[in-house]
Amino acid sequence: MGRAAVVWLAAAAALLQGAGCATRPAAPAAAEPVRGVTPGKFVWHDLVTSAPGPCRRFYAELLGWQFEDTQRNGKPYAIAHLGDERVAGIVAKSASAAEKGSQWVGYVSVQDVDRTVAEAVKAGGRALVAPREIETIARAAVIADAEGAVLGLARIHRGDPPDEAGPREGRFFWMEYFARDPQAALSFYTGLLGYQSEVREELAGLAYHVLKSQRPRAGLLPVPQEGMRPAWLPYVMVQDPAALSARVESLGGTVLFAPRADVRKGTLAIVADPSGAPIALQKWPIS
Amino acid sequence: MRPLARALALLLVLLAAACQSSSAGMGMDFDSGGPGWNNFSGGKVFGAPL
Repeated sequence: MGRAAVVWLAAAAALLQGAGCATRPAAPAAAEPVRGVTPGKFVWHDLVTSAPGPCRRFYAELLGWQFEDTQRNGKPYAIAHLGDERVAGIVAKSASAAEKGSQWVGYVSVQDVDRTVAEAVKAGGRALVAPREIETIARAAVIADAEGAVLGLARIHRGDPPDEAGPREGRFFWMEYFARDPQAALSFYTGLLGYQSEVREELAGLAYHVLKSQRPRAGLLPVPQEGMRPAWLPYVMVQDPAALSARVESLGGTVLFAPRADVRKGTLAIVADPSGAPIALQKWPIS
Repeated sequence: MRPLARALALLLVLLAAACQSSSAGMGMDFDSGGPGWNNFSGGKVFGAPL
């Protein structure tokens, strides 16, 4: 077994514990009382894409999402549903940015968006979208961290959705950060978001760090490939990653990593949607 | 009263739907490239003996 595969098994162990951190980003009824804020918890995911139409079809066919056309701050915005639950959003990239690539952006909960952006800039990051009000929903911003990876910050005015008991099919439930310099990235994120980190396993020079805020929220590991830019990779729970990845190309996407028996027992696929945005499809539980 | 009650119930349903339709999601675009994983050779990366 290769050392990378061993690290992935360590990651699986972390996921096993972290499964309880699955979020439920759907908006509750308006009458629901104000909830608490859990800094470090991922509370929403947006796909920022140059191809919203093909991506809608891709995710509808692959994950069963249905879309509601709406607007955010006067611009078109599609919200993905599973049943009556909102699971994600799709934003069309502006014409000036359309050629720069598409990606999923995870929004992490913070107490104070403005202060966190200022601290991120001080730590070597930069603001891609300055703090702003998202209608009456949240105050939010988008940053690039010190390695250039994109992350959303949000303070949802009604508080964060509660943690769930475990992952549910078709929903985001885990995040992984691929770092060029893991120690620097750890320093950045523990300082910025207050995470505690724990090395779950370290073998042959590769380590899997679990970032905790009350409970595991994300993993952090080195970029495994020369030339691969640091980025956050979102995980969606699926029942059959092999069957889904077999359909990806016919839906206009690309299989980046097909399930392999020696990596999490064949339960992981990493694919790119028609606009090139990577997303991980993870069967749960692993065994 | 019954028509009024029905009208109020309908109004509440519509209000709830209106609130629901605008109570999730960020929807922000930005000028930055994607992660550039187009050449991601997963098979070589995650499963190969190193």
